[in-house]
Amino acid sequence: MRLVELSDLYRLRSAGLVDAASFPDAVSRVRDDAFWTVWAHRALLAIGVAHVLAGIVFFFAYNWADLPPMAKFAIVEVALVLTASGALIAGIGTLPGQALLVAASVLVGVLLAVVGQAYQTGADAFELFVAWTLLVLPWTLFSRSAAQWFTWLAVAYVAAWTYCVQVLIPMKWLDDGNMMLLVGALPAVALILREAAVRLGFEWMAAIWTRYLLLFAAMGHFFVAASAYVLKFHGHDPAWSLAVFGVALAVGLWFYRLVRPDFPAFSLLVAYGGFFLMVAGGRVIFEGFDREVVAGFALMTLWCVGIAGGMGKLLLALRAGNRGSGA
Amino acid sequence: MIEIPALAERLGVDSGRIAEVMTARDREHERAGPWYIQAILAIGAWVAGCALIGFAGTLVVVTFEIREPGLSIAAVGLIFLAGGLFLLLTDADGAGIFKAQFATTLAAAGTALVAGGIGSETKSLWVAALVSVVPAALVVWKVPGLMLQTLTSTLSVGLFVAAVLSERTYFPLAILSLTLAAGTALLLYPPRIELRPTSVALLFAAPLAMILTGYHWFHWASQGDEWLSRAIHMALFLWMVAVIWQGLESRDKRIELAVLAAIALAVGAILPPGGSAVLLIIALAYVLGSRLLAEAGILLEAYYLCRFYYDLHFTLLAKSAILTAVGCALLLLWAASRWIAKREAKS
Repeated sequence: MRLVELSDLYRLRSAGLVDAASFPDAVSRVRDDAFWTVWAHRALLAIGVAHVLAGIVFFFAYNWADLPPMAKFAIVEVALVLTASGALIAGIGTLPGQALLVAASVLVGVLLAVVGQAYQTGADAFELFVAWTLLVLPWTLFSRSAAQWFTWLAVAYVAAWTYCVQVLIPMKWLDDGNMMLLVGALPAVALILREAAVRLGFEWMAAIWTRYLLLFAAMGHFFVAASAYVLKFHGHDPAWSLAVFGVALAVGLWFYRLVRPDFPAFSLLVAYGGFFLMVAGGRVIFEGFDREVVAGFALMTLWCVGIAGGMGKLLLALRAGNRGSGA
Repeated sequence: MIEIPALAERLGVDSGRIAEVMTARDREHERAGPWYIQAILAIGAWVAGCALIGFAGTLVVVTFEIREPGLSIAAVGLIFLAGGLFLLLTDADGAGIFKAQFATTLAAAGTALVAGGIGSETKSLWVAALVSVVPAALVVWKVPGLMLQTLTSTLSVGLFVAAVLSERTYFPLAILSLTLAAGTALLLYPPRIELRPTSVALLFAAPLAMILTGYHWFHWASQGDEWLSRAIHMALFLWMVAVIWQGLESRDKRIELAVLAAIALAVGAILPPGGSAVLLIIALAYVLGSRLLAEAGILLEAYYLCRFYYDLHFTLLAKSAILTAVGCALLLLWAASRWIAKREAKS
């Protein structure tokens, strides 16, 4: 028999079967207590650690010129040793151990910033982030923790972004459009590796949010690059951003429809495709109706309604098909 | 987790009636699709709505060459709104998705044009916000389904927040905290009429306004306002504790809850209102058992920590002290709740 869900309760309330006063009691009966107890513990730990770490980072960002360099190093290094050894003692496989390892990884970045300040290395920001990425990589490889991998990926992403902005673009080896594709490749490659790792039995990478986050990030970059080309945003956006977006979209649709069926992931890809068609249609319509801007807006409205309706119809039909086939 | 017969017994109603309502809900869910399909359609409707607003604007200003177009735009908006509502209300059998999408776009753009037109005529965002409430209420009252209500209530709440920010209202933070209170109340004690989209829009108005815009937008807010806002948040938190309290039967569990609540209240007193607003959403997600609210709250929390760096109200040293103190209190809360859970498991 189907279990009652929260959204069912709101419907029962609308039907007058639950009164407002007893609604919270009904909610407490419907709620999965075991799941929410575990969730609350994890959320408290994650939010607590995040606040403490942010507090430490803010402290070092404060104008602390009064502290002698040795004291600065001592504070950060002691914290680093404590968190890293705490992770070892607690065990990398445990939740506190993983949280401490993430903390130690963040402190490596803080330590590099202190080195930069104390010795006035004159290093660009990208060098700090590249060094940070490389230094934390061994911990990440052995961590068996999705959170640690995402922390590392975020640092690597900033390293790639700052390298593009501070080196490749000023040297004219790269432009904005290609940069978007280049940094977008990072979550795309991570997604491919994630799917392969799950296939090979790396259970700790199997949390579904890792897939959605990487897919959203990768396709977001490719969508922006392709849309910028279509809209002539910078004037020098590369035509191949269209091909990259198209290939990524086609491969993603095929993969999440047939190889590893995942309807929310498939829907996200359909949405990216549909919104790109809206952008492309907008360009064609407003160029075609150059002097007839009123007609252009009218046609654009119908185009967007058609695309959104088409996406809805397609997704609902496929979902019904999935249900019918038991997929 | 509970099955229909057990819930029926608890509520004292016929389980057949509960099953009937749930079957109808399943059928509707099947027809409308899950939330992410609804979200895609809603974003599509807003994009189309923007194009429609562009159409109305250029029609009035370029074609009819009306110099002060406020009322004319409102009139066009009224026609759109009436057309959209007519199409939605006459679509008794839930016919085509294209027709529904077009009708939703018309009604949403119509609401925006009516509010914007009258607001620009009177040069007041407050008037625009108040005007937008009329079609939003009409949608709540008459239109089945949640998508149009999501769009119109978001617009109304957005205009209300814009009015609070731009017209330098007294006690802006406390006023926004009251929207959070309204959203919480409507989700915890829902009325019979379906108001979930409006409740969620009200719930997120305060944290989004306080975090996305940053505190420099509230530079005229007084210390008293900040404390009033914090007090509202703490009262809301106590309210949620009271809701959990009622469901607890053992004295020990109530004492444990009181200890946890005391630590959480201390966090509420230390954090700036934006931070405590986000934590309240996470607490509400826990009380309701709503994964969507929980995920949105966690994302907002991550954004808040980044945004807080640029807050000009405090020095970096003060911000560091606030965050470290709150982090330690939350970790203490975590350790306490773990200890309690382990003790319960043993006994």
